Amino acid sequence: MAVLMRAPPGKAGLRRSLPEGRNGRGPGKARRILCVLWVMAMGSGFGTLEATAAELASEYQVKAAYLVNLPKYVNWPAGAFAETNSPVVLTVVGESKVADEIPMIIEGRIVNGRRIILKRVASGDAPREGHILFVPAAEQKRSPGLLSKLRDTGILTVGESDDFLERGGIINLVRRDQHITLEVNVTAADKAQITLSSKLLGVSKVEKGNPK
Amino acid sequence: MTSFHNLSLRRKLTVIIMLTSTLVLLLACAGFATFDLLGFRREMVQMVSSLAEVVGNNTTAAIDFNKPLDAMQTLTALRGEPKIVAAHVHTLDGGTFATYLREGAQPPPEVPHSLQSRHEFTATHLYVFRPIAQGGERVGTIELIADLKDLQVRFWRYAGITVLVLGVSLLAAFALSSWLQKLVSDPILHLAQVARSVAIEKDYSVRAVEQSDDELGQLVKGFNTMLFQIQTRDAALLAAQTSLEERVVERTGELVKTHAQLLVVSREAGMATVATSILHNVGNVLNSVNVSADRILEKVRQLKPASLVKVAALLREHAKDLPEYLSHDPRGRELPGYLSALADQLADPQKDILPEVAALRKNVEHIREIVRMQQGYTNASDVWETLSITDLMEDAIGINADDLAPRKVELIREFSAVPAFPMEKHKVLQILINLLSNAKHALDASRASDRKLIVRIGPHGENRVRISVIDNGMGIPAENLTRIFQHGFTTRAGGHGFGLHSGAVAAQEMGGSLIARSEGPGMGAEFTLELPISRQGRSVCTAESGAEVMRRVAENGADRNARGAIALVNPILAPSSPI
Repeated sequence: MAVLMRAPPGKAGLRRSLPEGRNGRGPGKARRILCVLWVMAMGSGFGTLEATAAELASEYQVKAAYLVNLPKYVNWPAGAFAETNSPVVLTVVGESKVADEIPMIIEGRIVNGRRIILKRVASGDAPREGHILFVPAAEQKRSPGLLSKLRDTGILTVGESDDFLERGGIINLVRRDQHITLEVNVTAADKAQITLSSKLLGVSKVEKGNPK
Repeated sequence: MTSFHNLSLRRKLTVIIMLTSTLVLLLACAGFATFDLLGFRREMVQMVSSLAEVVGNNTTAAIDFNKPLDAMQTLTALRGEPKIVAAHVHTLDGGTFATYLREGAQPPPEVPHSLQSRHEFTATHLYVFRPIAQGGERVGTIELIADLKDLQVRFWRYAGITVLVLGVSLLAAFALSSWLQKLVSDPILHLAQVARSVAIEKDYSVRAVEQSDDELGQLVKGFNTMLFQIQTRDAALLAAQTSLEERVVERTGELVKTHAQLLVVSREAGMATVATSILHNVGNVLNSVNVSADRILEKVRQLKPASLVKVAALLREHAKDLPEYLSHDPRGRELPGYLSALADQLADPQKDILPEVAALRKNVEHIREIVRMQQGYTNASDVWETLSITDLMEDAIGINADDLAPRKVELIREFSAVPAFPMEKHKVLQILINLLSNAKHALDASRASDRKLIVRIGPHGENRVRISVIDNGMGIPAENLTRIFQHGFTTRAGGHGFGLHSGAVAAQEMGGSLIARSEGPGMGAEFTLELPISRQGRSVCTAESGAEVMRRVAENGADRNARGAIALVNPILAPSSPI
């Protein structure tokens, strides 16, 4: 809850994705404060531009939460899972603070009957297994050819770089007006035989991006 | 209710029918309306619930990826449902993520929101809560709020329909019942009218008309039958009354005739009773007269006048030389001694004879009194003398003494001191003689070796004297105890059956009673004569009714605690005319 208290205006919607927010409802006082913050954010047009350390920390958490929520809206090609209750494997390449947040979030969660497990691989590796692959911005810079190796593998690639979709990534998490929003490359998804839920598309910016 | 009771039959039937119809229609309408409104509510809940599920399902991604504006946009689709006035999306921690309010609508009052699937009706709104889930994971709750205007409109429409239906139905019911009730009320009214005319005019010849064969028809039939029976009975009663008068005249004539006959018979019976009484009482005394006469005769026989004649002849023969003869002649010298012996011999019988003659005189006097009593029976020798009852008893014993002596009967006198009191001497004497005579006969018939006759006199209470004659002779069987006082009843050959009867009558005339008591055959008997000391007591007693006397006598019997004791004072007979 301490984390939540630190949440800046405009990020209040995220609280439900955080571990404390999910598992235990906090005292009414905290909830009221959050509501107030959220209303202020709406009213001020998401005003303040200073990005504090707390805001940054919150950004990692939001991204982690988005990553963990994604499997609910994604259908992988047949054969992606060995069994109906095989876990969803979320792979993170290289070092990322987002990856540090994930274990707390996935603990105990069952999505579509599957657990979510985190797998971290060394920078430069391009694993052809797993279901979701998160490519942090630093890793994208370091190995720009990574995405092309993963094409047609049925892996949902998620990134956080401006050129991620251009390079063939499927979902990009970007900061727009103090919000982390989703950008989706439908063509890339089709290629990877991954079906994205219309609900997900409904809250995303859809691009029929470069089919490379 | 009283006013309802007094309504006419027609009104009553109408009121009953109308009330019944109204109640039934109201119940039916209320039932239908309730059923329909409940169904409508259920449908409304279902409709709002499915709406909530659809809308909620479309907000999952907005919640999961923090897009409240998207969620609001989704909720805005509810504009197409005019029932929904407001909607909220709640996050799992209870916060409100997105809200929708229909344009121009007042925000409805909040209810505590729920994470569970539930609904709640308030007076004006329906609140439906449904969980929102994605991928099997709960993400939040949607709350839809519908207003109940439709329900209210429907309710009032029902109320209007009910009033309309009720009005039309009641009109129809009134018309129909006015016509149909005649089937029931007309025969009853007709019957009531006939009954009234019967009651007022007492004319039992009218008849009610049967109009049907149901219970009412049977009622009319029964009523007519009743009228017929009353008519028949009236006629029979009249006939009976007439014949009764005739019969009364007839019977009265018979009674007059019987009464005259009875008068004759009773007069004859009275005369017979008087005759019997005289014979009996005189007979009793004559017995003693006879005995006295016999004794006198015997004593007189014992006189020897022949010796005196002889002495007289001797004296006449020696008249010239009488002194010589008396002094020198050996026979003459014995003559004075002889004469004195003769004188003695003559004096002795006289001594014996005189009391006998006195007794004879007394008995004859008694006989004379008996006859005199009977001659003036109506005011029967009402001579009251103050006498000693003990002396009177001794007289009675004396009269019976000659009979008792040779029978080896031990006579025991148990006399307590009682004052002399007024009584009718000859009646009392006659009773006592009778009792002693009866006891004598009872002892004669007994085979007991020690025959005892106890005569007891003593006071009883302050005003009465009791005289008991007790024997241990043959006794009286219980069945005879009731009869011995009856006129003409006797157990003795040669008895008249009169003594006890006349004794009891005499005792009652003096204000006393005569009571018999016996333990049974061979156990002896006890007769008790009770007499009042003062004449006052007597007059009181005679004034008592026969029943009262019987009761008192019965009480006396109970006093003695005597088994089989029976008392009887029989006033049956009082000769109706003097002889």
